[in-house]
Amino acid sequence: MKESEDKILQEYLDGSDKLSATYQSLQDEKPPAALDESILLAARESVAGKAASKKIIPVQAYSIAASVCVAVLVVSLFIGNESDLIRDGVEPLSIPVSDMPAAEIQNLQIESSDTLQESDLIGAGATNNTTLAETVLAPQAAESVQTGTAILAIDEVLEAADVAAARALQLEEIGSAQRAEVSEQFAELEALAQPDYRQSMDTWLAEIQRLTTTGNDVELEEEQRLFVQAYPDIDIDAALAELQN
Amino acid sequence: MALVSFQKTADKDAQLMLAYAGGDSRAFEVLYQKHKDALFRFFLRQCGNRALAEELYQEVWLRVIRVRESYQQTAKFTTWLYRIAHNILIDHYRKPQTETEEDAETESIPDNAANDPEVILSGQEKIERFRIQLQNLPREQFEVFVLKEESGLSIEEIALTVGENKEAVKSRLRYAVKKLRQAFQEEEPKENIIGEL
Repeated sequence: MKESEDKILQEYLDGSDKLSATYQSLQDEKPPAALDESILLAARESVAGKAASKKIIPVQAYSIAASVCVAVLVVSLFIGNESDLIRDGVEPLSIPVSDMPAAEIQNLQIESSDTLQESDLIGAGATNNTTLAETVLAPQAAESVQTGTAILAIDEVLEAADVAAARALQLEEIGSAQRAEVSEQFAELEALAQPDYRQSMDTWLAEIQRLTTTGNDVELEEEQRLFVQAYPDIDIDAALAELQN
Repeated sequence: MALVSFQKTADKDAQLMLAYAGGDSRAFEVLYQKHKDALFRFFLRQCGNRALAEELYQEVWLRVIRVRESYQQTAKFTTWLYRIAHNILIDHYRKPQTETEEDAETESIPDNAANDPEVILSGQEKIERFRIQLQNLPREQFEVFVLKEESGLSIEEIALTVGENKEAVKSRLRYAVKKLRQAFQEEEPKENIIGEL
């Protein structure tokens, strides 16, 4: 596969891909009319000051687990024995990241970032191999044909050129996949580097409560902003009051 | 998490929501009509179960109604709406499922029409293959793809919606697109190049 995944994604985002058209051709499902009526009625009643709907469920505390156990961050990036291009990858994590000190998470992020660069290098190496196969080996073979000498050698060179080109494509694909994988892992590590209290709504609210009492307005404002972003339908004041009770 | 910059005045939906917050129920109707089908499909595609999709879909709108008075224009309305939808979906996935629910979900999975010899039209077959590839995507990739298609949000806005960073969303979308494109490829025996290495 010559196209890089980035190019494929860009084509999709640009709309020059048939994925969107195919998706849109799937059955056009709509909500039932009775449900529409029910929701619109609830909206009107809410404005009129009545209870929005019997079906409205009280705010339920999000049952996010108190701690997110992250055990799966095994980096199995390097397949095969491409010792010249692919060096040792990041060691698999043997302990949950949630138990790690922040400094260790940062180190992992740095390693992950390094691996990302290595993947880029692999992609570049593969591209170079393609270029080598196309621009050096193949013309060499062609030149040999013209001179009419060393027929067997020509066959070998041509074969080598084919093998090198195929190999380059394989490496390019692997490099691209690894780059995507490492990128995702890097993103996960970044998310894990977030403070623990943001892992659950209750602990997050508790932190906001703490900042309120300590009077740290700048941090408080930032936490409130992020909280509202994460839980747009939760009233912070009401939730804090509920937490206190 | 960085806030997506947006023009407050340019977001007509947010203005409608503010109007509804102020007591204009017709503003809500306009908003509802605009977003209802896409939001419904967002759930239906991911749940694969109509009854459940209706339940979750209704829950989103009821939450919108309930919080109308405290609504603040902190992000694009669509981002805000789908963030609520995302949270509801996550809540659903985290809930332990009863056997009845599991059965219902299994029953609702569409038949594999691509294996049906009657499906001979190549266009139809491709669509069926596409549908199957879509259903087989990992949940996170599926959600990002459906969000992109149904809500029309940018990658940055999707990141805000699902609470991930831009790179993670981009990566999920990249994987999803790559896998979905396989639906259009001819049925060729795929070389296991990785296995050879």
